[in-house]
Amino acid sequence: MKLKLTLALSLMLILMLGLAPMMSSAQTVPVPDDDTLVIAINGEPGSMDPAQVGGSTGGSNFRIMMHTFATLYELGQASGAIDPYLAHSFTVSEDGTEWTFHMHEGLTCDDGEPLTAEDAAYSFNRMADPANGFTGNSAGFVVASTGFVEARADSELDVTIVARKPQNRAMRLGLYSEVLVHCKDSYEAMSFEEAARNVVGSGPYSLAEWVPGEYMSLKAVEGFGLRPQGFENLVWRFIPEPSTAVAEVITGNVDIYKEFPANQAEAITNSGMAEARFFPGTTRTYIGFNLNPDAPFRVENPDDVGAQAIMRTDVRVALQYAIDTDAICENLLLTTCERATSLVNPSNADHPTLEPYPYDPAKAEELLDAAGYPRGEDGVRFSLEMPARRLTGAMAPEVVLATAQMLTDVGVQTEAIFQESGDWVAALITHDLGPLYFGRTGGSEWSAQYDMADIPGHEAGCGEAETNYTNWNNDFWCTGWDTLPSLTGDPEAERELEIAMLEEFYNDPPWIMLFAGPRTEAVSNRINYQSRADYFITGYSATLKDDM
Amino acid sequence: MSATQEPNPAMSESRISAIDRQIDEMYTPQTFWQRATSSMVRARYPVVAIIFLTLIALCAILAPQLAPKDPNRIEIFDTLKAPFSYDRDGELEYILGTDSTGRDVLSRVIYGARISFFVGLAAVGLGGGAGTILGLTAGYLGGRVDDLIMRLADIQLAYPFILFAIMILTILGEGVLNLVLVLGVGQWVTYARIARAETLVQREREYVEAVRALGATEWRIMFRTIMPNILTPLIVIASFNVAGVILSEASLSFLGLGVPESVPTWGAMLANSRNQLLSGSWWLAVFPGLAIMFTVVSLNILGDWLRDFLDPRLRGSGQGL
Repeated sequence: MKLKLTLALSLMLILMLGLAPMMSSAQTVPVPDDDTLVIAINGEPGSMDPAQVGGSTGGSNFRIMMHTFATLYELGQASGAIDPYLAHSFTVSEDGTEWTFHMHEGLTCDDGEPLTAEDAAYSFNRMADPANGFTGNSAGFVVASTGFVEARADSELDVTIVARKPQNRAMRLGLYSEVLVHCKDSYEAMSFEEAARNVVGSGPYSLAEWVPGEYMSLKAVEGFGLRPQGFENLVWRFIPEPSTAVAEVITGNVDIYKEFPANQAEAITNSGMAEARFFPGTTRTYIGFNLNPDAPFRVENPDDVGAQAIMRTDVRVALQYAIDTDAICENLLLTTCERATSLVNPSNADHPTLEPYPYDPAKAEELLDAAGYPRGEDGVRFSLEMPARRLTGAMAPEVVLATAQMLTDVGVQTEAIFQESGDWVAALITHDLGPLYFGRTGGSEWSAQYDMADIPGHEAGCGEAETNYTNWNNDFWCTGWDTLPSLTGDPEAERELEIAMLEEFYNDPPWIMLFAGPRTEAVSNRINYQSRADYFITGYSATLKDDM
Repeated sequence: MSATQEPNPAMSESRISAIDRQIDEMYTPQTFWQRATSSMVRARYPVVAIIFLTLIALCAILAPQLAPKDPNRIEIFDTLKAPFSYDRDGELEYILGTDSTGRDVLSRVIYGARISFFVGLAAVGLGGGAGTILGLTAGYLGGRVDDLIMRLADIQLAYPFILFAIMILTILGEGVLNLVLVLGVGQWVTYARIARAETLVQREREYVEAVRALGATEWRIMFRTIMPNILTPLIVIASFNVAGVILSEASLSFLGLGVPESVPTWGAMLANSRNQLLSGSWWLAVFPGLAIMFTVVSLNILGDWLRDFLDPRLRGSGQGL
């Protein structure tokens, strides 16, 4: 009996000791202090491999990796700026295909390994090598959009990146600025699985602690002189629920939270802890028409009237008139926004004369009647499904449902279907999502062509190109895209062609054009921080206010 | 001190007539429904529960007639209207307010009753039916069949139901029928264990021996002879179980694994209210929450009463009502 009692007590003690670390970790989520800045994000990175930015592992890792890895040049804090970073300057070959970046001396990675041109070249080649199987922004978008061929180290500090063709300078510089540089020896020594969970960085902060499901803590790298380090520690808390993140802002446990639900601005402001900011964004929000003739919904159900109807330009134009973007922005996003005329941000160099399609449901109905799709006895012309994700801000479910209702109101019965993000992205990149889908895509303020690059030319596959999610196979556009590089020496002709291409997009729309952004951001009253119009959060630039 | 007491003629007459009435009541044959009604009336609370559940059932059946608006109609200019909001013409338009897309909360609560009741009854029917048959089979046949069924039950019990439901719904996708399937599969073990235990007792009874001696088939003995005699505890369990299933549906909908966005359910309404609570829109959580609470409490009261009413050991003792 005594033995049993002793055994039972021992077992309890072992259990308690075993659980103790779990209990303590739950109690030690870092809170803001003079040395620590806390940022809330909704998703946890699926990978911290610098070659796997966004894509199947989600986009949240880019925000964090901007702090642990540096780039040759950087998309600047100020609107439209692209600033030197690991490289102080660059030169371009006469034919415009070879860009040589001149790097700073004395750079190192987190583990002390010298960071040289060889490492920069390795970073580009590693992410672009199809054998490595990377997806996402760098491997998917940058490689395709720049026509990347290879990168080579010309000397210890000079790295040359070779592309198939010349390209608009701002666009190419911006795209190269999205490739995260990492050290060759460190990453060659790691398997892909190890690289996904460990960080040997080149940026202003290094990974200190990663508690899955809770937070990631970064520590300022000593002696890193290329960027400010306003706080010694940056903590990224993973808070899936927007309302929970807002509650943490209100109680002072979080300093920065981008894309809070607009109707919680009053609660944030009234708390006295933080400021609720509204500002125009660059991320383009749209409803895509999937025009892929081989998409499963078309192949499996060839008699689906809706899926066939949206293949017609006149139907796609008609549906532009059904959406009241002003009402969406004013009532759901609690701000004003400008309706897009194309896939280029209104704040970017978009079309100078095109007027956005107005909200005119009567005209939408008239055009649909004329297209041969009258309302049936039940008031329905045809039905469409619209897959979407449950995101925040301009992609909030309320916005998705409101657009579905507006389309239904003109007789196109539209059902919004909310999917798990991974499934949604997987179907998007294989051009199988739809027939409609509610989407967004990052944008810029420094190059119209950057915004246009979602739909590349024939050389990149045109309709079949990965980032051309709608499978829009417009010959004028794709030929124009292939022609643009030859016009880099003639800005006027280049601009003229851009404008003609945007007009084509307007007249044969593969999207229902909505708006760029808008964005919201809650920022603690204890810090100085400049919000960015794009997707990023540059925590390194935040500083504690003097009176705090 | 006398051993006997003189009767009071006036008192004894009234007492005698009262006792006569009670004796009459006890010996007058009553139907099952008469006994049930009088028992329920004496207990009072089950009457209230029955009235409430009847109202909810009527809401479910007559939702299109009762709901003042289309529950999915989005009114972008009427978002987050508080309860008892008036429109521009001064007419009372939204009795329970609107949600973040301008949908009428009252209409969604009324339509939500459909899903909650359907899912509750269908899942219990599915799980209860399957569990009873499997338990009966295990208990009657015994041996390897018993081992197989009961080990399956043990395996399922060892796995947390909510994880099991998330896993299955992730594979099958959202939808009312998938939800019923998952919740039904989650319930069968309870019924199987009770049915097996009851069957083990009943199969040794003389009346079973008598039927067997008359040459009845095993099938007939199981389903015609034993089954009617094990149903009472299962019916009581089912009445409680419906409440549990309604809560599970609400939980899964709250996690976004229930039914599509276009199907209003109380659980999904609660889930969608999360992001609006900080903006002071309390009505989005309170009304579907109250609907769930009152329905579950009513079903539990009814289950309590049914247990007491059907238990022969409590009948006539006052406890059995």
